[in-house]
Amino acid sequence: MALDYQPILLPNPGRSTAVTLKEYQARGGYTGLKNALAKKPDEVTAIVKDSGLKGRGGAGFPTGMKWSFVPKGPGPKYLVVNADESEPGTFKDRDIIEVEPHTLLEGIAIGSYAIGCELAFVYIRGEYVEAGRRLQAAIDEAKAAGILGDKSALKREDGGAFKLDVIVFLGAGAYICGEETALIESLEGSRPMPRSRPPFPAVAGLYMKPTVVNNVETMANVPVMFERGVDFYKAIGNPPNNTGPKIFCLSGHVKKPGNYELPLGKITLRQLIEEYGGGTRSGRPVKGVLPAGVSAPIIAADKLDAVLDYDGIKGAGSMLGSASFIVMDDSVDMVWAAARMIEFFRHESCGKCTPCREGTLWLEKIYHRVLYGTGMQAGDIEQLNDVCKQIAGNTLCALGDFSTSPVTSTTKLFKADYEARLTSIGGASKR
Amino acid sequence: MTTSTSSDKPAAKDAPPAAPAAPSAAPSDVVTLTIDGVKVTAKKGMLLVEAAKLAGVDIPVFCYHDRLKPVGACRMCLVEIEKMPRLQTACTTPVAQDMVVKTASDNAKGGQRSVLSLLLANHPLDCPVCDKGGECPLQDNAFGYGPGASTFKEEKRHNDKAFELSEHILLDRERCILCYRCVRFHEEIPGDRALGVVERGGHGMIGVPAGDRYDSPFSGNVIDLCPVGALTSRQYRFRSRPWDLVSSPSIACDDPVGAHVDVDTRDGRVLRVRPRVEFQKNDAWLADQTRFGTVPTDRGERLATPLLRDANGALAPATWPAALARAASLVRGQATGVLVHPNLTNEAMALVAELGLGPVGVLPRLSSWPAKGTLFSMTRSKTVVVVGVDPWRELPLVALWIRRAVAPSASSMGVPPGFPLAPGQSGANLVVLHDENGLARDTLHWIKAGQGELRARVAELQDGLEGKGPLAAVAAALDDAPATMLVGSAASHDPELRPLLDKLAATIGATGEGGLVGAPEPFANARGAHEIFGSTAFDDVMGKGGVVQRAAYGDLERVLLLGDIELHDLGKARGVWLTSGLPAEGAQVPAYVDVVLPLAHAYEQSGSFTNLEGVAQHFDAAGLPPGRGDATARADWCALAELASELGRGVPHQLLALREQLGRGQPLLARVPRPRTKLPVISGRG
Repeated sequence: MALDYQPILLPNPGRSTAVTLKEYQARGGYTGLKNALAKKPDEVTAIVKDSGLKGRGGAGFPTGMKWSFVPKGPGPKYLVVNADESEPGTFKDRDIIEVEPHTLLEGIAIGSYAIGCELAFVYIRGEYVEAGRRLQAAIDEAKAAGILGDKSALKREDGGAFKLDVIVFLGAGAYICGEETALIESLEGSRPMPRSRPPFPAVAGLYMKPTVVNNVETMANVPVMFERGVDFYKAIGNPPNNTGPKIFCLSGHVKKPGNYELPLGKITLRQLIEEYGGGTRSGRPVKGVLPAGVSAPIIAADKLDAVLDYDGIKGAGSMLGSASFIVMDDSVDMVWAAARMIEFFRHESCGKCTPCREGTLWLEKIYHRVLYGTGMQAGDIEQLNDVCKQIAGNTLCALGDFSTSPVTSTTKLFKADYEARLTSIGGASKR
Repeated sequence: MTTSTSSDKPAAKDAPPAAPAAPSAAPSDVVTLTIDGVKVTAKKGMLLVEAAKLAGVDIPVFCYHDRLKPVGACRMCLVEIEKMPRLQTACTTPVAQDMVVKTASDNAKGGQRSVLSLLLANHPLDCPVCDKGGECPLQDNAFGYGPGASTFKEEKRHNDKAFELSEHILLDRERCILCYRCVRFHEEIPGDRALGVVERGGHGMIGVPAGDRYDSPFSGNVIDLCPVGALTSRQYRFRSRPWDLVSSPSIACDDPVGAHVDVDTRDGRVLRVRPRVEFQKNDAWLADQTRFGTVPTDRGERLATPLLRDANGALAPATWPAALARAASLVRGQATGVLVHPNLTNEAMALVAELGLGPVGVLPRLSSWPAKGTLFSMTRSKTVVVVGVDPWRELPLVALWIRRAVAPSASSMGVPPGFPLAPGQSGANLVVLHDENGLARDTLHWIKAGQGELRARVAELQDGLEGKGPLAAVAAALDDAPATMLVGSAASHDPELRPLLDKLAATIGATGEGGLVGAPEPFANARGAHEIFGSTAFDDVMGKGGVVQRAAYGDLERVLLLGDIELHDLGKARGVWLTSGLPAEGAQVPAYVDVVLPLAHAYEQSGSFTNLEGVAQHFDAAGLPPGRGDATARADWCALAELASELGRGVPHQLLALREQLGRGQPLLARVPRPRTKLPVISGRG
């Protein structure tokens, strides 16, 4: 391995059981929380702002800034942790919750203290039953040990008792629940559909109260800043824009898929695939890589030297997003791959707004005709892009925009795959 | 809020901006912005789509409705706002100081065209057989803002065409554009969540959960709300095209709120009834019983000529002069009782006194507690107590006001368009003492009590207010004044219960200020009967000394029955019946009736009703009554005026003159406002 790096978020690679409270405390766990509680809440937020931590869920919004939007003053405020992890090819949060639940809880505790929340929620996707069970066990442990709950032994900076309850909520399996306002709707017991902004959740979120929604990995990044100091944290990665550790989910046609925790901006996409992933399974060349599940434009083989951080992937014409890299070798027919992704978006579109609901249905119909019907017709590429143009920028939430990227990127980068189908009347998938 | 335009057309870029009229008070409450070159001053918090109306700019919408909360779902109202990277929905964006909005830039038009292109991709082209055709926002917007031609070459989505949501409502799932107006209506206004979405995404459709029924007393409103022809009325389906209809304003003829309605007629035939916006009464809504229950059967099928019983006991048609003469001869000089239905007009009720007959009774029996206060004042109520009545089923529009008091951040009742609802504002506590409660969702405490148990429960509640007894916890919820207290008709008559209720009302602050107190009745003119007949209005006509019992005992020889009164037996007394709605053929007429005088339906006559607040409202005829020439059903007051003349008591046969004359003795009639001269308008979206 080229990089000398001691993992922070997942310090026990290969471990499959949950780290117990005892083990966690033995390695210094919850000292970060104690240090944070010795500061004023505003100071905690300022430190997180200073750390340069950006949201790890996909949008990359500065975490400290998000916390600072929460209005001061009385009344309930909520911290909601987004553990819906519904992006295809993303499985980092699951590892954090299942193996390092206390890191997450400590992050939640610090974040709750900073924003003045006494009731935090962890929204876990319905399929993660085991993760939910383990997190609940960890919460029970922390409550019994006087860290969380009503009877916490910890004191705040102002002398008051630290109070925090954490509720584990299992979703029912919808991609849209990863969108923060849809997640809030689901948490409230309604059908998960995104809300129109304004008001933003920081002002009126869960039960119309000020709410911060953060990703699991984001929260897991917080304790170390207070345990070892923010300067230690700021030295990780490629500051100022790309600070901190990041878990890269590697899957697809690679020999060794899995979670690889590395500092941001220290290796290239090619290194991740070849040095960590062991190259493609078939030994054939890489054709394209999806950098953020299916939500961001595909990266073609000529851009594999992009540096793995927010700026590097942006420079390659895509987005780091949740950093879940799905590698495709040259056996993949990109028309089929795009169709598969569109099927996913059609199936997962919540249907609230017109462009995403009707547009994904339309795109799927075109792809199905191309793949299983009369085949590709002249003008279909233009038609596909035209529909994408009608969707992109016009939707209620970002998922509508995401749904167009498989189409626009594959028609641009792999036009040959589309043109190859022009003659194959009734051509079925080459898969 | 003021508007100023520099010219008729949107101002050119270099045109000098027109000076906005200076906001008179509290300048921090208003902002000035530019929409398509027009400077507008609007209230802070107002949505862009409303502010655009002030600027005279039309922004196309589907999901937005000024009585519902914005959702930003359909994306039709995309506009360009300077300094914003993406197009924004005008229906969810509040106005801001110095905002520059372009609704017709290439960018904005592109967004609007995209949304229409996507909406139309799967929308069937069955406009020629669609009820909505001609008054369809989708047609209008497609014409005004659409792409002209479709590039959609795939097969359209197929789904249910005439899915029976309920006995009144049919749903065409292919036409639906999922704007959620119907879903949101039920969520916000009545709060019964009667409709929802089943399935997801492009396969999503409006419906109810499997095994459930679409059962709401307000279901008809979704037909008006639907911006396409997806939700249609079974009653009106395929009856007419909107451009063949004449729409006339009227007042609901079965409803104590005095709901404002538009009655749509074709060739004089009433085909449908729709709500007309009146913020302080029905807002924009109607109950199903009014919408579907007050549309009369076809003119040709109803009785238009008087009937007289001949020597053989059979009823035979007669002319009006012959019938009036017979009726007059029957009652003249005889002990004659009068039974009045509380759906009769103020004028007809006031004429009863002119006939010189008596005693008078009202059937069905009215409550002895006319309401005090106004519907709109219920928005200030902090406490609502309901005793012995289920407003949900019996007084649906009043139930909407209760819902507004309980959930002010959800219901827009009485809130003018463009004014945001106060989120998080806490509502009234609702306590219900009755065995039925359609407002259960909004009820804080529901004490199930039949008529017999009410006395005990109300007494307990009174004790509870002093911190004693089993209902102390419930009574704690009644602390905040002002209060509304609604009472059932039967409860109002209970001589032991009534004093308890009076005391309770006084204790909780239900005084008629900041709320409604009393026992309103589900009739169009119960309040008119109360004012005109006084306490005789709520005498029990069936009981001791009542008109019916006295007739049965032989004290009365004749009975004049006014309105659609159903009564099987009158002993030996003979009757004259003035009624509407009898069929032309095979009318079931009770054997005691010797003369039948056919009345017009309320929507086919002019007159006035007094609503439960005591507001008298004039209405004009919308449709034509059954019959032709002289053989025509008469307005209720007209038939009575003719009968009075026949009895030698001359009164005018013209409404306004009659009202003026009667108004000298009857203050209620002097209160009826003079009708405004207004030509009927052609129905449709305008």
